[in-house]
Amino acid sequence: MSVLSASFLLSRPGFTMDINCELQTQVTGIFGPSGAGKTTFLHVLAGLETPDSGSVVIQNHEVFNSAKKVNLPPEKRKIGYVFQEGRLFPHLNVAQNLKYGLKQKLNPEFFKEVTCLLKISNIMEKKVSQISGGQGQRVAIGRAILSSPDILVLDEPFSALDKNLRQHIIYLLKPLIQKFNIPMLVISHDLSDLLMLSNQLMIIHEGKCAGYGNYYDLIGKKEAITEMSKSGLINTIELKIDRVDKEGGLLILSHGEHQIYAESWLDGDNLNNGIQVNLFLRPEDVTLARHRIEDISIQNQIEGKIEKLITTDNKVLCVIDHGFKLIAEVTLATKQKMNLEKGTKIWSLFKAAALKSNSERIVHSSNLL
Amino acid sequence: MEIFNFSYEEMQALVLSIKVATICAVISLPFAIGVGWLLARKDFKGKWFLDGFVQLPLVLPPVTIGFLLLLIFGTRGFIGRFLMEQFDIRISFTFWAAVLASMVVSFPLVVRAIKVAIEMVDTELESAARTLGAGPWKTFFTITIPLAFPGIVSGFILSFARCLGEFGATITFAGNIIGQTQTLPLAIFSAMEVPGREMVAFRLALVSVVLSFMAMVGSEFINRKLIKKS
Repeated sequence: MSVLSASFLLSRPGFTMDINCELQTQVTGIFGPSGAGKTTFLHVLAGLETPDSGSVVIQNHEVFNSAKKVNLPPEKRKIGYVFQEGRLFPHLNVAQNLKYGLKQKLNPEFFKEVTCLLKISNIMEKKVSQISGGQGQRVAIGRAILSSPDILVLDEPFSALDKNLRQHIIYLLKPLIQKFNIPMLVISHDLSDLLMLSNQLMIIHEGKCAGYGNYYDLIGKKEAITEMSKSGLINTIELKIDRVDKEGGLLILSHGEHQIYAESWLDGDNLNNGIQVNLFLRPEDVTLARHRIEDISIQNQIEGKIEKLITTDNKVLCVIDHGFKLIAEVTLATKQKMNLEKGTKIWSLFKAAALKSNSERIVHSSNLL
Repeated sequence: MEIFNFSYEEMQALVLSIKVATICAVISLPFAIGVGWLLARKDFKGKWFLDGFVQLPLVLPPVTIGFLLLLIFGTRGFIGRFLMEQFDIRISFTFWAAVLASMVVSFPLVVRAIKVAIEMVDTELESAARTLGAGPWKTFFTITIPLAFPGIVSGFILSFARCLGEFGATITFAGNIIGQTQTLPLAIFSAMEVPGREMVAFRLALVSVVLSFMAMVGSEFINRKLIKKS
């Protein structure tokens, strides 16, 4: 069953949107530069803008079809829309905002569950003007979920927040998605934000869908890679914290059988073992070797197999499978010298210091409030 | 003190004025909200005409308004005659003529205040309400009206205050009948016409100043409270 099937044409002076896509994954990140039409896309789904022609089907529910003259108003589309600026109602308090979209009588358990997961139970009576930006965004997310939508769409939900808060909200969103099983579309112009939520991306460029699929598959597509490169390609690795080695200045993490070392610039005292964190690694920070190298300062050396090689202008991107995927960037000369091919067994080397967190500190969700 | 020595007639004029102004402001309000919303939110053919028509009483001499009302609602006017013949209802030179005259004169003021207040309400909040399942009416009553409320209140009070001062249209269309259509300004005018009744004119003028001042201060006070609250 497809989560969303959209095929429409929308013309405005100086801008045309011609979309044809079918999204199947539970969480899809919509990526594209400013002005590409990401917000317009969500507006069309939500019924806030009407395309000239085409059709939109959300969770098997036809909300727009120009041929059949179907055009449901926004209130009948069952889309939980989280706007960039939150758009909380200033004359209502937090609790009233949260209850605004309730379809039927309040289910106190559902309400409690959502507010607890979003960590907003303690600000219910506050006025909208009295809460912080991060709290406001969480209230907006809660309000959308409580309206029992068929799909949740988030338009740049992180853009107004600083890096720490961003990561915090992303950590809160993940259990919500799992718990309530609501399909979700998230817009961002920041690739690393999106990759923390999902590897499934839809790329919008100049009003068109320039690619849809797994991040590591998309980098093989010319249009998609061009767009993603502008933001800077990045590896995102989901790791579990095993322990902190204070004397060695290292944080020891793992992914499956691999042990990974990161610098303990992280606030070690606040970290509990077993926490899942997302760390980032730039493709140009990955060194390739045919063998494991002893006597070298690089802490991380993991073995994998080249899954794909993509040649762009003057560089080569290698997608390497280690149980998780990594993109490594090398020059054409290196590719020839090392005789890199699909299926080649290879070691990826990267320094502990090259692993970065999206925020200045890795913070478990409970520590930020 | 002679200045506080109100006669029965003067009290009648005062009570009548407050009654006319209150009824006028209350009846005008829903229409003004409708027209204000239309002008603030909708684009339609002939919007310029509606806007101009609503604003017209601001610039027309009130006597002209009274005269036109008489042409329409007088017993020989096309609506007045119809009401008289079909329902035996007479409007001109009655209490309701004073209300109608005040309504027409004050309508542009209240529409303008409400239009500006609705324009100030962020349409993005309205679309957020729509995505949360609220239809156009629910959105209007739970988002637009509450957020525009300070403007609506000040429109209401402005309309009330303008009605208190209405003279030209009232005397032309409703006459100057003691106890029925003689409001404060008309009573002041009548007192001035008769030699020796200067004190009456002065007393009523003072009352009218105090009443209008209270309305304006009250409007400002409520407005501040509401703005602070939201």
